[in-house]
Amino acid sequence: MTIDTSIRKLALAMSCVVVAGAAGLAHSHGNEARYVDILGWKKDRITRVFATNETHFEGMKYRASYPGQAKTLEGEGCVIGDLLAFDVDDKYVFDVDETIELAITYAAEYTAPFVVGWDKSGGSGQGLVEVTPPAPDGTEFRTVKVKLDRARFAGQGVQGADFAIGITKLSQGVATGSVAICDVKVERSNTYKPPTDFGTFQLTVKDANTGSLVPARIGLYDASGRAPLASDKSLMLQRYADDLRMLTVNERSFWPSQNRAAFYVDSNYEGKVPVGTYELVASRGPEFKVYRGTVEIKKNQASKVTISLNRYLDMPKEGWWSGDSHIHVTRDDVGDQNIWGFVAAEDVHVGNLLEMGNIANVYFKQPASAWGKASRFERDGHFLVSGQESPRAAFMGHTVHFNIPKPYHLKTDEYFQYGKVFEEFQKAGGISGFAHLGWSARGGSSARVIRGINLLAPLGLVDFIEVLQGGRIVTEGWYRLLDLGIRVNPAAGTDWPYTDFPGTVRFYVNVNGPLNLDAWFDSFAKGHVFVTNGPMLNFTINGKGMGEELRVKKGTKLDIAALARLNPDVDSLDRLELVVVGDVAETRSAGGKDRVELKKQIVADKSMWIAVRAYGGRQDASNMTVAHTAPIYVVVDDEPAWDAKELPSIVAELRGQLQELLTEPYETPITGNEPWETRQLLPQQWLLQQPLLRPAVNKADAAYQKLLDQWGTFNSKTAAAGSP
Amino acid sequence: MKQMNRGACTGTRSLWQKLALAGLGLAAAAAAHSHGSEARFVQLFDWKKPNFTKVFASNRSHLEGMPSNWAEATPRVVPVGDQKCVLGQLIGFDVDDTFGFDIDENVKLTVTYAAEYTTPFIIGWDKNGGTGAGILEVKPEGGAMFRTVTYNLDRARFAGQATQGADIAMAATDLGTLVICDIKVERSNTYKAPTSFGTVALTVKDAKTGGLVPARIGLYDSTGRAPLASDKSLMLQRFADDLRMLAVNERTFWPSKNRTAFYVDSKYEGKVPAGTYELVATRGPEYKAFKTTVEVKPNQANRVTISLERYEDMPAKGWYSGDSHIHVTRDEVADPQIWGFVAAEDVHVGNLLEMGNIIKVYFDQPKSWGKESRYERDGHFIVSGQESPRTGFFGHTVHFNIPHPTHLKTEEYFLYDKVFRETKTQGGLAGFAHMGWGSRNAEAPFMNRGLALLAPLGLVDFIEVLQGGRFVQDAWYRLLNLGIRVKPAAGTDWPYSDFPGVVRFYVKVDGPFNLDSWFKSYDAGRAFVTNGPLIDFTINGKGIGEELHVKKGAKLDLAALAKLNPDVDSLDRMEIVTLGNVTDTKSAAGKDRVEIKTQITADKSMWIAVRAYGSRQERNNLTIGHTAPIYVIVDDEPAWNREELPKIVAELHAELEKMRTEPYETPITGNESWENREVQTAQWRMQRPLLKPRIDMAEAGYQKILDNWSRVTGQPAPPMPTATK
Repeated sequence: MTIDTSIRKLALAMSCVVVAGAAGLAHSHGNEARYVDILGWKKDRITRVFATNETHFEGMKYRASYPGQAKTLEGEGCVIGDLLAFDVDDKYVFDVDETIELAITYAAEYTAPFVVGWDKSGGSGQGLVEVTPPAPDGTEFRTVKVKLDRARFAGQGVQGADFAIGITKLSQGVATGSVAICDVKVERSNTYKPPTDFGTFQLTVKDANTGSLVPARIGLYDASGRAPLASDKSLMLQRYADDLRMLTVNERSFWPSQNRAAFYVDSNYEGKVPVGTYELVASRGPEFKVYRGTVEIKKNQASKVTISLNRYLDMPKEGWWSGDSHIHVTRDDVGDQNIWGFVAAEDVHVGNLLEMGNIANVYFKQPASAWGKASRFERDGHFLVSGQESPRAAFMGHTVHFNIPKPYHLKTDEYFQYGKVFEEFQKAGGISGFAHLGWSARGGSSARVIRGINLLAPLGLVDFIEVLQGGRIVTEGWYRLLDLGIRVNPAAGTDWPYTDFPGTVRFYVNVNGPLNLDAWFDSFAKGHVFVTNGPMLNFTINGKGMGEELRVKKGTKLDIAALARLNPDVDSLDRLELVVVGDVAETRSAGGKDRVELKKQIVADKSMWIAVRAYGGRQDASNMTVAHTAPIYVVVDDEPAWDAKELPSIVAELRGQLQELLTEPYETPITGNEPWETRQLLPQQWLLQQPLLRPAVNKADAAYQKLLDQWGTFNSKTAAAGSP
Repeated sequence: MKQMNRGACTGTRSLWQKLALAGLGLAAAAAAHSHGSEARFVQLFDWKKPNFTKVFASNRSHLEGMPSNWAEATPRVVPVGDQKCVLGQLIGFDVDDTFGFDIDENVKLTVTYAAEYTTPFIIGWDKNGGTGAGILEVKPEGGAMFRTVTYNLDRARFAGQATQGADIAMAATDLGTLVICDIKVERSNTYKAPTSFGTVALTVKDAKTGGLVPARIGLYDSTGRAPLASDKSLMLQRFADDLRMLAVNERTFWPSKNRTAFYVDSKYEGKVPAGTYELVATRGPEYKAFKTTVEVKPNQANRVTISLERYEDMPAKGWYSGDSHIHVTRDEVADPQIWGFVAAEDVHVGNLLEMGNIIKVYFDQPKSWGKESRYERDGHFIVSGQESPRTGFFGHTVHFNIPHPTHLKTEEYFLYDKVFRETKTQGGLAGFAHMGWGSRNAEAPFMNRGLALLAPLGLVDFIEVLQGGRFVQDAWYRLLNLGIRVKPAAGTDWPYSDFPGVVRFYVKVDGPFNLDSWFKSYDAGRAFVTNGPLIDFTINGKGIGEELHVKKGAKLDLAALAKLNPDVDSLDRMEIVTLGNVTDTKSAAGKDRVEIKTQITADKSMWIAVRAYGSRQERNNLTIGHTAPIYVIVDDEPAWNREELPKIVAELHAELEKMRTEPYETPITGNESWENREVQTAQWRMQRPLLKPRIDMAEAGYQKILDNWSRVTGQPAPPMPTATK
């Protein structure tokens, strides 16, 4: 347990009454949108044991497939689950750096191979060890001893947990067994000697260019890689219901140290730390170069450091302002400095803070009395603004709505009527789209999560798709709509705290002149946008920019100019590609440089959408450096910029999926969307509401027919030859 | 609405039903009878329309030709525009008896449906003549909020023969939905109630013995209309419907194109309008069907004795038939109505099964269990058993000859082995029901899972391989090929599928027939299943289910005979099946019997069985008989399929592995999903961790088989996949 956890508990007990934060600044307390089920199971030196779906220890994030349960097995009181978290009593151990031994007794017949994760000093801040139980031999209980190397036990896990036990094998995130733990003994080695000599570390962060104070992400590590816990002068951060000051920088987020426990500062910071030599690092998003230095802390002395962050690029100067489409934090007051600092430290200019709904609840609430323009908070050109991710069901997709005058969360008994929300926000001038299309590349959910898009896009209700998230870009759904001539814009959102820190992926919107949110949203809606987690893109055709339409006669020459640049601190630049109606028409290698340019002339022989994308050196499926522009639409002789060849087959496929929607059962297990509270409700409501979707399906179907008819007027010969 | 037979009772049928359901236990006829269990989905709508007493959602209509469903949609009254409409997949309409009851005329039906929400559907009604049901297909038109259409319900009877006395039903096809906003009925009033009546008095006898016997009867006037049976007929149970007339479905042999029948316990009397009637009777596949014409004159009693001639006398050869699977509620052990229903089909052993799901038990049997649950008359028994545990995920299980029921508690419902062990300990027989499911859609692998888990532990005695006109051998043959001796059973699953005895299994009893000897012989595998063909089979004099130990190269004399009552179906062919493969076929060549006598050489251990087919060859309406195997053991090697065994073990092992990882399917279909969908899913998640030792144990069972195979064949056992373990 940590001190902050105690405060969180107090806050929860006070029903979200705002309390003074440890730093003196008021801050909001997060929402518990994770599965946390405290099991009545008491063991010496352990204050709490709970079943959960997310530990925040390396890779130990599951899908809450099983309910945790305390059960008597062969006469012993045991806890059963696929992921169990343990909060060790701070009186026994807190913030140490030594080997701790766990003696874990498990019911042999009921326990699958498992891993133990723990809060660790140095490196990623997390340790992980695998335990493979021997084959059952009739022994009812077995005890395994596990040594936890460099244990810190400063409660950095979920709800202050210090270690966790979870099953090993995961198949697409679904648990494939469980563990039955019947006893746990925690034993210190007592090799850690608490430091006796301290000095003070004082930090100021500035923009080297302007000289003004700026927030940033900071790492401070002693010679062993250990990060002293950040003081109350750092920003208080929200990770679900955890109020905490330190977070782990994941592998997708660029960071100039092998030690990855970081804290955030709003330009000034002070903390007491043990004497010694420290590695000091800082970052502020992909437009700034990283900072690396060392600092010597002397006994009873103040060591003052000023970090001057140099720019790699100045995108605002070129008219481009970054946003994150998808951040979840609870905000009590519009002017929340902690949240602002978290977003601005990553140099995100527009942080869309989304209330998150499911069929039963709304999480991450935004200030109730201040929606629309009143929800906007600006400081130093960085904005926070309220939006919503709701409705949100794996069966129809998760939806995101920006720039809305007030929230609109569908009631349980009409939850699948997505069209109502989209229509309402379209009338009110909002911008609506679908979240994390990365899902369409994951396991079994693919066909289903794009159903909502399929239903609403042909009606012109879908403004954007989050095509970039969590190191993945997924273009299938987006390209298919573009190929139909439906102009949908790309967005990028981190989905903090589910995936990455704010701004790890982002979308840049071109605004002529200074940033204001009305202009930014307006320009986004017009498609003047690119998404990125590193590469910065420029792209024009005959002087027209991203999202613009170029009307020409057949045979017209098209001058294409594209440029990609990538901050080498983020990643190396690999190549730039020109995408014409979904196909790569040209590739240019960066040749080891941090910029690559393409200038090319082509002939407009047909209508087409043309976009540019660029890749970095990281090419893993779920950790890819990539950027992608919205298309420029070349309209030849008034024919829409669709894929005339593919359109009928795409339409046929989407219409087929629509019909399935009316007959298919809700998928199982209900994953995502807080299944522990919605698992029963979702299929039940689906059964109730599915028949009522028929008119909506008919409407979408008619729109596809209209599209096909329109296509027929331009492609009469092909149509006559027999379209689907 | 369905009334009591007119003249026999002053009240309406629904009143009786209400009284009965209220627990008064009064029967319409003089004999006491039990009242059925409502294991169907029936949900009344608060939706009143003139001339209708009630409108309800259901999952079955019992009108021939109408689809049943799994009750997946959630029916309710919904607003559409300014209308209140009923939404559902299958909706029953009970017409007020004062508007029309047991008539025979065209009725005009006007239906208003919500066009945007309604998919193609079928209208069915209680009709005179033929199957007793009329069927109309409706293809809704869109383009407006409401559409109103008018149909003619030809020869409407409206005698309440559908679910809970309904007269009309509408069912969406292909998982669609109905949204009905108004319904009107208008009589043509062409039916003139008869004014002159006579009496039909029937006596049914066995032609050979002269003894009185129960039978199934059809009586039709010249238009095909069947007068409602009197209170002298047997009161039958169809779920919660207590009724006297039932439709004979297409899988059930019947000597008339008119298919509304009633049951009599040898004697019957009823008042019917004067006229000429077709009279037919049947009593299972060992008897020839009876057909005659009866002239009923006004105010006269017309006495007819029906003498049923045997086609075959199986008991004379020691073979006694049973039905593994009948669901009726029985209050008293000696229930003459239930006994009559079973004995009229000449089923010697009617296993009456309590039916459980994760929260409830339906079709209760009397508190007296074990031997006390047996009721015998004239060599026909009814006896209590259970179908429980029962889930779509692990399979439905059947337990015979048990001293007491063992219904698992909700929180341990997936621990099937507990019940199987208990049944075995108590000397009962345990097996898996309707493996016909094994060849249906996606449920198949799930249904086989319980089998995969328990068979290697020697806990599975039998599989119901024949049911509802389907024979499914996949799972059974696979187990036989592993050397696991599982017996075949056949059960009708009344009232879900067919009348008792439509499929049945014959057991050879040595010595006097009683239930102990019957169950014992069945346990020894001396059985064949059939819905028509009667089979005899020996190898070197050993009979069905027996084991023959020989040396390699020994000569085996196979003798097989199949016969089929031509009134049931014509015989097509007989096949010899060796280790799952057809090794000999002989056509019946238009005759009602076919024989194979052949000699083969025992080159390896094997199981050999015989099957025979009739001419009905549809997937869901197949005439077939199949014996249990005779096991030929050559040089002490088990009678397994040496070549296939490792592959089968790998497949079953993979199924077990999936069980560790796969989610529960949704929505939960079958098993009264409307009441247990949520609890079943929740409990699956709770209990799944507890299955691990059981899966480990089953895997060890397969490993043992594989090790044994390896030892016998001298080949190394292929490793079992352990990908997800």
